[in-house]
Amino acid sequence: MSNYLQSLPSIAPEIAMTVLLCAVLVVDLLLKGRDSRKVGYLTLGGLGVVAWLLLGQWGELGSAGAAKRVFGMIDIDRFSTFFKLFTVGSLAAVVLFVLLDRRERRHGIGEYYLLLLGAGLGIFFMVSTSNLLLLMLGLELLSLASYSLAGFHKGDKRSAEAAMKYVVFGGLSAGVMLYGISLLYGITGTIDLTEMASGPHSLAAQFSSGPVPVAVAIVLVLAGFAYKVSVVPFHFWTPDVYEGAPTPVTSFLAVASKAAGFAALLRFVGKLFLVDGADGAVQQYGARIGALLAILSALTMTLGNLAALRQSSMKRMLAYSSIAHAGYVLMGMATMESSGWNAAMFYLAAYYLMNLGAFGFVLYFESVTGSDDIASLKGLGAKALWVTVPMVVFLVSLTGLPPTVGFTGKYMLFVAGVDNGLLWLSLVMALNSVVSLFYYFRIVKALFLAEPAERSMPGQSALAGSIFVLAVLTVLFGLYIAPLQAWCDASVESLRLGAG
Amino acid sequence: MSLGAYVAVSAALFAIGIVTIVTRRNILYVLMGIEMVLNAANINFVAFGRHYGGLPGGGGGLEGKMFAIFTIILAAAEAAVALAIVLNVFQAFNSVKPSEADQLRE
Amino acid sequence: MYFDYFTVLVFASVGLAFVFANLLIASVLRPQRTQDEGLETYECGEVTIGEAWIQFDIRYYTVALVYVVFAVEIAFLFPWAIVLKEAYAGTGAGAGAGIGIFALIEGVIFLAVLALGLAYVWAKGDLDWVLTYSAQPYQPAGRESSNLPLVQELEKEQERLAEERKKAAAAAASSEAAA
Repeated sequence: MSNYLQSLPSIAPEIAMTVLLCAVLVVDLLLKGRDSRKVGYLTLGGLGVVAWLLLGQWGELGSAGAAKRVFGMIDIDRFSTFFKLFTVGSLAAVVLFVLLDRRERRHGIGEYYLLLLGAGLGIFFMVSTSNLLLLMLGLELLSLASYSLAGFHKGDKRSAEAAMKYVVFGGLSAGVMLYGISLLYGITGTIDLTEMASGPHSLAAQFSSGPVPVAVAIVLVLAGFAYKVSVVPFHFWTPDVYEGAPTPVTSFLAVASKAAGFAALLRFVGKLFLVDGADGAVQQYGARIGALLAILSALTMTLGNLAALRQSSMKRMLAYSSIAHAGYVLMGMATMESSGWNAAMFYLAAYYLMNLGAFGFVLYFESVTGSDDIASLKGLGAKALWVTVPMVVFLVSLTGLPPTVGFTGKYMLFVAGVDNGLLWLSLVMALNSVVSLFYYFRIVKALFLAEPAERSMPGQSALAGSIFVLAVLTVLFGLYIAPLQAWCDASVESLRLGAG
Repeated sequence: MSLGAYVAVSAALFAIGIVTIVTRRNILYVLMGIEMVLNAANINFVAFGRHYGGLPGGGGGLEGKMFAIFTIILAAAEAAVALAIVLNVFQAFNSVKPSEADQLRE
Repeated sequence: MYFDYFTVLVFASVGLAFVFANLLIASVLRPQRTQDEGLETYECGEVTIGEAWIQFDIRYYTVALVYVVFAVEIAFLFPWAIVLKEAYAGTGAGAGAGIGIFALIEGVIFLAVLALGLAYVWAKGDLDWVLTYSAQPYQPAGRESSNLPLVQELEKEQERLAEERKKAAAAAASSEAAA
């Protein structure tokens, strides 16, 4: 009894999130869907409390590498806190987008917040466990909420189609991943990653007796992750779902959901192959996984960037660009060394900032022009400088040019690649960045280099303000790297050393 | 019955499920295929759970059995959400065939 | 061990015997009439129309959907109940772990969250057989692809509402002045 109670404070953020979720549901029912703005404010306040609890936890964890395991399955370490904090941040941004977009407000949309919080809770559990059961449950909670969110605009054909495609691909990949997990359980007799790496039937021992089943199981599980982060052979759903889903939802899917997938993938690979004191055979096997990731990374970034070149819809273009960015992060992972993983974490943090901003921009203009075509932006650059100038900052950062956080992240990835014998991949990445310049620049061209349009821009100043803040952060972290970098290093360190 | 027999059944079910998902035109059949894949994993979990239950250090095979229960719930929840979405698609397109929902394309 | 299976065998055979005995008794006792009406699906006189292969009302579906989720949750309650029983009786795997009251509270929370879900469905009116259409989706004319209004449209509508309010106020003022 007492040890259960002692463990409870460690999952205070999760408990707070659950209570908030129930409170949002009850308040929405009591308001009878009439004034869902109040529900939005409640959500924001609750997220503030969760963030405060998370920051407290970060401080308590103290020195780098400290980690503890509660309830036998939840790992509380800086790695999970890092992603939880960013999840709370992006949830808050998405809630703000919904709240500040005057069009969304019109509906009774209490469930919007409820589903977003549900997805956030799924992410919380998904990023902080090395128990495959809890990982799967978190992943499914995130997925189920995302499916509903993608189809949130009832009666909108595109939204309905996006939800259908998402649920079919998602269900398939969840099934494949689950099958892989069942094989892993059959091979090792445990569903805990730490025990899998070192237990009585450890992966190393099983691998030496029969490599094929191990390889099949690992590839099936990796396929599930690859779907979640939209790596190339499993990326088909991404453009359709991103285009059809409501824009605030798209920004959530592109940012929080994808980063959570990366968090789980990093922990999965890290706990199995990167832990300190891993067996020689395991490390060799890890190197092979690294080679697989490197090939996937090259394919993903190249195909993503080439497909983005010929898009006319901004959301679709950003979807392909997010595929390309998944390739960049994978490149850091492929090094299978701490330095590369630090760079991957840093790039994920950069990715949060610049993509949230870019989708906020899409939302801003979509609410005025009713479409997300790049052509519909023509000549509007000077009409809303508070939004278009930040967008230029985001595009510069997405391309990877100084003085932004995107440049720093890419530079770190490049150096990590060169240092760890992946020179060819670093060069592929540099070439891809040049290609990406072309399609990102098309937005700038439409905004500023066309004849000024006659259309007037009704202001959405609150939304513009939040976009501006994101742009300031993008530049700030690009110039002032040390705190974010220390943060990423501590996170990866705690993952590598593992829970005692 | 030996462990191999169970694994063979589950592998067959997995394969049938995947083929169903890939070849069927009607989304309801696709969802059935997904259920088959999930249940293939479930057979594995129960069979391995029973296997490790008899071994020392296998934890009584509880993890596998627990996973199986949770998978049943996952399948039910996923079916509920998926069917609701299919209903929405039917209202929008008057069809449940993915090929006829073609608003989103290059 | 053998005894357990013997009990099952006895139970099964008594069950089977019960069913067949009842059918036999009924066939002896019931009146033997062979009119055509007696062979209808509903003997009470309701005439059946069409076949059974028809589209069912969507409302059955909603109820079934809610039912499935709740029925499946029972799968969690069975292991929970056994652990709880063992924890309190002090036998089996649940004993000595000191999990009793904790498991009880946890189970109650689980059921409370489920009840919240049921309350949600109830409050949204999905348990009513006659559905209410209180929330009609907004559909601007001429733009089928999205059901969201544009910001300009919203502003126009707000202006219109303000105008109406002004007019109403003016009308009220003038009527007061006349009085």
